[in-house]
Amino acid sequence: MAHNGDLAGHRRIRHELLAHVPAALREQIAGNTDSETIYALVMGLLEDPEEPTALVAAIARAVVILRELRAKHGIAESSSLNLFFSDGRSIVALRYTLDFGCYDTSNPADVHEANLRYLSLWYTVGERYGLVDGEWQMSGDPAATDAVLLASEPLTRDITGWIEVPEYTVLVVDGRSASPRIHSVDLD
Amino acid sequence: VPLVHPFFVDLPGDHHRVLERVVRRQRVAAGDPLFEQGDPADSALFVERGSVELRVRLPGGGSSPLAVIEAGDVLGELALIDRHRRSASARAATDLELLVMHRDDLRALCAHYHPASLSLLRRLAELVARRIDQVNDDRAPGERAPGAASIPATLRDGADFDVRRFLPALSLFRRFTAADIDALVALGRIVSASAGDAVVRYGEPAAGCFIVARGALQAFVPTSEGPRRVGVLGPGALFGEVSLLLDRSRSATCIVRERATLLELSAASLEQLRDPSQHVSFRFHEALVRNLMSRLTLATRALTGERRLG
Repeated sequence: MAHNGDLAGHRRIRHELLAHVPAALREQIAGNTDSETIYALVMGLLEDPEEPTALVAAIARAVVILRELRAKHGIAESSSLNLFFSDGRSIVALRYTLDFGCYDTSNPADVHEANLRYLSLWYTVGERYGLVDGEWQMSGDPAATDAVLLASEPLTRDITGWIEVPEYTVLVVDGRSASPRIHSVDLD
Repeated sequence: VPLVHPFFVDLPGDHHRVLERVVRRQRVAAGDPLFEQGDPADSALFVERGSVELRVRLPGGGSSPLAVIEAGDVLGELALIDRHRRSASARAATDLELLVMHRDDLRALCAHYHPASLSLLRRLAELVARRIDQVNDDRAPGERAPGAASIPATLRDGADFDVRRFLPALSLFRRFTAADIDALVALGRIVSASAGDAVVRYGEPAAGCFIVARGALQAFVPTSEGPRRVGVLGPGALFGEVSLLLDRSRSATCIVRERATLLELSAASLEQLRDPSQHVSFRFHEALVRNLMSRLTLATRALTGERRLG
């Protein structure tokens, strides 16, 4: 799993977040970062590790728990929650910002660029990804979905082959069949 | 030779004399290339006669036709404000007569606060607003079912923090001086709205536009299958201006997602911002065009993504 972002007030809600995680999973958490807590929370809510739609449901439930706990503790600062999960075959990725646009109003000097922007998530898809005419790009059949590349920002100079994942959206690349199927799910 | 392209029609005579110094005429023979996809873009092309074929490269090699640009239309206008790369390749489908305007020349006009540059920025804003309108129609085609009109528009005067101190942090105000920001705030009204409030509603007449100072809103188009989210608006976003520029009713409903503080600019304030004797008019129109271009890019990308995912 990868996490792009920073969960404001994580220490204040960590204990209550981990109450949603089974003890056997909790014991495996070695560090104390926000990313590890989020990963454990989603894994704890995951009912079927083989099924990408179950992972989407676990992510959606984790977002609801995070929103409720933040509201309970009065945490309302913009926090990016862009997540990337893969089991080696499928990919499930989330683009989501909690309390988007809400920054601390005590001092303008403390307003960070990350409080004002929605962190991005992009993907490109095709038959294969490689160096063509001196530029890394997808090549082969444009309708194919054999190769899928996800990144926080496009990795090539020419971005015309890249597609931006909308805000509050989960992208699912289901790789269990010979040719991966891609779809998106809107979250509240 | 007068500029007969519709973009320049009905501009005051003294504007034309200035513009004829910054707009170059170019003739291109049928079949000749104008630019290649991926080339750095630093100019807009106004097609006075003939037509241009646009093609995009295909990942597996070769290319696919994208569009044909006819006389009276504009090509590559995004390059007039910020650095871009051409997103398609262009070739003269017939013999062409073009007017070419370079970004540096428009910038120089703006830097000298020449009234002609304000007129050009306004026309650019209207051009890009029409394009956004078209892309949004393509994104949510079909019947409109404006059920969200029942959500009351509830704006409260003022905010619970000193908004003015935070405006310089927003990207929209990047090129504004403190005096420009003060002048804009004096023309507008600070308002607040709670989560769930509708700030603008589909189908209503446009009375003003808004700049998000804090918080976030979501823009929805009411379709027969329910509201369809077409955008998310955070700090520094300007919205509600497309319907004002096109003089038509609201094309989307904007609902507050996170408690929002906004700077409202009425239609009358926008009229005052057409006055070339004040610097803020130029800064505002540059920001307006930049914001519209960014929105058009996002909407076009979204359309591409939605088509790819079916």
